[in-house]
Amino acid sequence: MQCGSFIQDEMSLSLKTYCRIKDNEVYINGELFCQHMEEEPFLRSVYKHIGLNYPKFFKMDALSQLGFLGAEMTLMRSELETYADDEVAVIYSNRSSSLETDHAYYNSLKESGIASPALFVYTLPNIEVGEICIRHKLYGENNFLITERFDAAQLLEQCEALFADNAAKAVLIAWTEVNGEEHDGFFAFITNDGMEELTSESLTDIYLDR
Amino acid sequence: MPKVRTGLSEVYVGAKSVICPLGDTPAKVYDAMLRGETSLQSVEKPFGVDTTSYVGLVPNSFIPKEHIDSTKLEDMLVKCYEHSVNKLRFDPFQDEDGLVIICTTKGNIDKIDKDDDPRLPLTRLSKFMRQSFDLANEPMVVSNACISGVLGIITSARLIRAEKYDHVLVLGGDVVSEFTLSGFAALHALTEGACKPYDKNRTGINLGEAAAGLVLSNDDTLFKGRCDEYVSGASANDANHISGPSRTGEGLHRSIERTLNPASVSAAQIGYLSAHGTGTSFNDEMESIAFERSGLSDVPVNSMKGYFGHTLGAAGVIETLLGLEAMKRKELVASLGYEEEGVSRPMNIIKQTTSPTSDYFLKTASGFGGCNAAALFKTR
Repeated sequence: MQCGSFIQDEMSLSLKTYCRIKDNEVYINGELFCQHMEEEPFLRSVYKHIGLNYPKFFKMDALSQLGFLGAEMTLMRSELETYADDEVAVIYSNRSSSLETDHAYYNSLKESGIASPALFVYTLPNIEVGEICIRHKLYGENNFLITERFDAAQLLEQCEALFADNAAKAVLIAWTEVNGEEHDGFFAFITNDGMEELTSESLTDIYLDR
Repeated sequence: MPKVRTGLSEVYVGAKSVICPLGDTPAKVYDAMLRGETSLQSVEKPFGVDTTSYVGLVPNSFIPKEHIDSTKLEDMLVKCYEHSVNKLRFDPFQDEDGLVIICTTKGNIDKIDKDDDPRLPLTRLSKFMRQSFDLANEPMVVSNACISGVLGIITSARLIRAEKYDHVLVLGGDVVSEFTLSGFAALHALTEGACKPYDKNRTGINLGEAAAGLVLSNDDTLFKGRCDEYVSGASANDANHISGPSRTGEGLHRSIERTLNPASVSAAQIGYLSAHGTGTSFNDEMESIAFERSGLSDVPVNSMKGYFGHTLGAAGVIETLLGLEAMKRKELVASLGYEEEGVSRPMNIIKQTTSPTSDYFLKTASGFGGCNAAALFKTR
């Protein structure tokens, strides 16, 4: 309360929890959480490490698996239960949309002459967001944005716009890029009730740190 | 200059542009719809896909090639940009306070047959538009399945209300290709012949291609001619299934509630509902349940899919602007393809041209990933 007279009407964004999945390592709030065990694919080893039992995980494409795991580790540390089921928005982003699965679908069509419905369903990037909403029973706002690189300014602008419109009380923002065995995931739970103000510069620094 | 804000600040919408097989201006397209014309037609094995489903393709005569390596979609988006900006007093998108949002599901997916075509990533669209028009800001790309267009409009209005931008041009666009046709065929979502939204004998969708543009602004003097008001909007997830609509219409119902409640507008005050109405058994049934739960059963409603098919990422933009055109003329077109009641809940489906019952117009959309969106407009 020492600076009470300077409290502004403008909202300040706050970072509650963040998770980084990159170079076969997972960091949560800056601390190493787990590393790749060689005997199985990286994302599966993370799935096992967090002790999940969610068979749908194995039906997902790599992009959805990455987004799903990041959401799981971030939301379980964000007091999700204190929010109503429509108060948490999910805004994801990446560079390549669903292009990996697009190629997988198209190549299988060309090779076999048969289109795979199971692959086609994953040729939309927001399916990833749908998987997360199903898992955590989130009925709130969604969006999926395509940007050349992780764009903290654009994502935080989205948070501010949602908060200003009373459309959310918290936002799970993410960057999820998959290129073969390379994964670049960043997940952040953003609220507008914190004390420390989050800027796009500081969020970019956190992303670049790993 | 400080801006005084009370309640929901004003957001104006206008400068409509469209490229679809029925025409290249909103007036031409709506005239054709009022005459009962459809652009959906039989094409022998369209793009090599073995289907008898009709498709709606944009004739090349509508879109002169802009650049040696520009794609059909890009040529369509360029035309819409030009048409929309021509309806403004100046082009605000070369300044920092103007933003372009591009809504698309698959962008230049028709180029996937060429190895590593640099036009394939969706980021190409934003770079291409920025270069073509010397835009101050990198265009935002929204790719959120079939609600992309409505979501782009809602996002624009929110950014304006949060004072991030003063003017936003929302462009929606998608083309028909082997990729999308084969995929929807594999899902058994394509109908034989023409689609019949809400009809008892509906069996699926037709794919169509279109691009469309709408400008949202906090300044009504930006528009040379008429503009209307954006009131409110919301999206909501079903949290149910990635490719099947919710059996209870939960997300669509919630998106409508979260659109009407903040605006203090009741369902009974809505004068026209432009619904998603794809013509699949599950989607149309889901909508009827959500609309009943939302108290919209008596509101005059249509689907425009029978006129130009499902245009995916463009759908929310083209159907919103044609809905606004309908409100301006006070002539709501029939829901083409509808004959016999085919959903379980009552709906006031428009069978012949009729008038809106108030100045409020509601647009809804739903899509894969369990996403739903609603946006409310008021005609001036």
